[in-house]
Amino acid sequence: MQTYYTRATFQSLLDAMIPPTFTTDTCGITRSLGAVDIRLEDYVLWVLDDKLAPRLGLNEMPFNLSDSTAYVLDIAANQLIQNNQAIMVHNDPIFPGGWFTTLSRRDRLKAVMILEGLKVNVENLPFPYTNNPGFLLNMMDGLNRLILFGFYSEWIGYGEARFHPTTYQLAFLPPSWLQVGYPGPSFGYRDFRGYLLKMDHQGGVSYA
Amino acid sequence: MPNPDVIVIGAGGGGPVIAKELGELGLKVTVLEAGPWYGNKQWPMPNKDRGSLSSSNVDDLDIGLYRAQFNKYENDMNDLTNGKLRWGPANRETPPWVRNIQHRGLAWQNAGVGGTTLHYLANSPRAFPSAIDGIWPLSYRELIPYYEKVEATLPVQFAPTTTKEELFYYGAQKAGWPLIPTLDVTTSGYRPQPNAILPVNEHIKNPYVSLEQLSWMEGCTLCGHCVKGCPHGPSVDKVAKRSTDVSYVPLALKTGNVTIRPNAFVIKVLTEEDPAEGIRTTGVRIRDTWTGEIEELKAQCVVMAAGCVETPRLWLNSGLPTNPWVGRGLVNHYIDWVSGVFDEQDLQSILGTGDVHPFVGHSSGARLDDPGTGFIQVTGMSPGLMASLTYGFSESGYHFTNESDPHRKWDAKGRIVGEELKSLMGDYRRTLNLLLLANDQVDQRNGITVDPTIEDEHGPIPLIKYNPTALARRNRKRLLNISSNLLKKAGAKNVVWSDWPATLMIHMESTMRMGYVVDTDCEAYQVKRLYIADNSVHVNGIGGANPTLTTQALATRTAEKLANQYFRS
Repeated sequence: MQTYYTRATFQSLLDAMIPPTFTTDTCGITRSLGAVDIRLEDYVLWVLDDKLAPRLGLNEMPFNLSDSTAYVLDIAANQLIQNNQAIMVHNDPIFPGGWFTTLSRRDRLKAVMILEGLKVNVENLPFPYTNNPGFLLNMMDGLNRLILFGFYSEWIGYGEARFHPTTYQLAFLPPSWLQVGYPGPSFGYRDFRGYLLKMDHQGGVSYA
Repeated sequence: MPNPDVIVIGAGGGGPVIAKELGELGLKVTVLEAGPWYGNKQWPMPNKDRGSLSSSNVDDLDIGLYRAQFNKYENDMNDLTNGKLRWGPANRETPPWVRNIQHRGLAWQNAGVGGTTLHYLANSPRAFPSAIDGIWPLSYRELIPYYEKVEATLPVQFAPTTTKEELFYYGAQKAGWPLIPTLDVTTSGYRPQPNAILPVNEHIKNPYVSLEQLSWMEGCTLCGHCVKGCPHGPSVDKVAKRSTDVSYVPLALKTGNVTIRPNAFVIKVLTEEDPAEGIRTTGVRIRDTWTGEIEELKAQCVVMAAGCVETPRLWLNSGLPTNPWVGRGLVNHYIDWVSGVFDEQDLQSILGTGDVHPFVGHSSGARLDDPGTGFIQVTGMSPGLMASLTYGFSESGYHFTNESDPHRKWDAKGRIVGEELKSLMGDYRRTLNLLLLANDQVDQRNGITVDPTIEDEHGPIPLIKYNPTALARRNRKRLLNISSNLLKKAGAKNVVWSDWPATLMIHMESTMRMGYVVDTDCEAYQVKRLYIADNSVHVNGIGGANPTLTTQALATRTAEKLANQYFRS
């Protein structure tokens, strides 16, 4: 089980990447859900600690991969603060945790960039990031992809079964699909506009 | 399990092809596949239960089961760690297998009968002739009969036009590119994708035939789910997208000579010293991925078709003879992604509809070839994949950290997150994505080794190293300019350059090169009776073209050579 500190750190990261947003139209103001609204941190922590860590030989360590990842984000956040590169620091963050959670959304992303640019002393990072810049790059990249894939795919729609892939049964449409206008799986579409070319399998090509 | 004449390691893009060809020649073949088998009655719950050991009966294939398993949901199908289509064991409660890539990126491959063709977009172009002639020890002309045989068998057809292809053609024409009506590409221009997808169902426009009815009939329904594994058709062997599990596997089983065993990870190629032949293979050692049991299987010949990563890994972990080119020379095409966001009114005037419909039709139905440079293909994805590939994956960090440059044809570069992401994803239906694949050169410093410190249950894991060459960088830059220009000419209001890292590995080739590790018959120089039938034998990146058809053509040819060499009687 991840610590409150770890969960808050990941919530802060998710909130920076996919925040709730507001749109105004004739019906008034509409709130568009963000990643934390659908508890996407559960997905990220599950993938890191239950799926990746065991393959990296980390399942017998006294801490989770997500814990050390949160700490790495905090180290970068602290560096940003110490170097006066953070535009502002919240004393009362929405997701109270370490330094990372006190940063503005933009500065949290800058902290990720510090790590991606390897602008930290990798000797001082916790295991398994210690002196392992390749792994750090791979993890920061993977987190970005994972968060966007998780939010815009149907994962949250599996409801109670969402941590048990072999029993997946979609319980409801994910809000992200409604946000983007994706209709979900289909038997087909009638949007057929003909053929530009045809192949006859005697080595020939013809105009349709 | 009785010993066959030939063992094939891997049931991906190449393995089932050579199995079918050898089976038709009367040889007894066993195909060993590390992952699950979907759509087969012997494995009704392939991700939960071990099921049977093997199948050699085409009647075991079950379209009802296949449709239930390939449900077209992107997280269920394509999640890299949990999805049905992942590089990992059949049991989804267990973690995936990992590769060590010391950089941003991933090797996007699947385990399972069908392998990576389960999620491939079925793009099946031939190599660029200029990348073969004078470079390979075979001529392009020698390959043509094998290309033709595979194109007829799958079969391959030019893709139909839907909205996104029409927009792509419009942009290409506006940018001054000609249509090139050919399979043998020697000049630049645009054309429909030659895809291994059945022609569109003739009733597609008939409102009296429901779309669900169409999905049970023969022919493509333009459902747009190619990457998730196509489930549509009246029977497994007539499923619209021709991944090898629905094309070559049924044909192989119909010969009565081919047995396929899923859940069998080959961990060692066995050899002996023969007085006449020297070192030669005698079989393989396998590990059952459900039980962990180890066993050995003997055969007169072994074909490695495990792919560009696992074939050299297996060679190295088997302790086969040292060769400076084993695992070396990896090319990946230097891949990138550029997207255009359009206004509804502009689309309406061009297409008669206000949407691009990125989730409709072949996932990739049109391309622009530029011999020597590579090619560009239109690509439509569902939102999870689209968001992560377009806005979540970049070499150049977040967009807000990149200074704008008024001289560039693109408007944004890098990852896009926050409110801007939400806004851009709000335009998902009006976004056209282009995949750029730049021709690369072989560099011996790139390739596959095995990790000296990390092992899984199958031995030291692969360590992947790839840095694009200077040529690849130049080629990608040219393709970026062509793409951005095409999108602008088509009317895109906002062009986003994702600037992908080099190590998104989806077109890996050349880690066991012909002329260096294998001869022109694809038999290993140093181990007799050991053949290779996957992308790894390609001498180079075939000019940047999608590699699967060339692998399948070579596998067809290799079957002839192998049978002639060792089974002439």
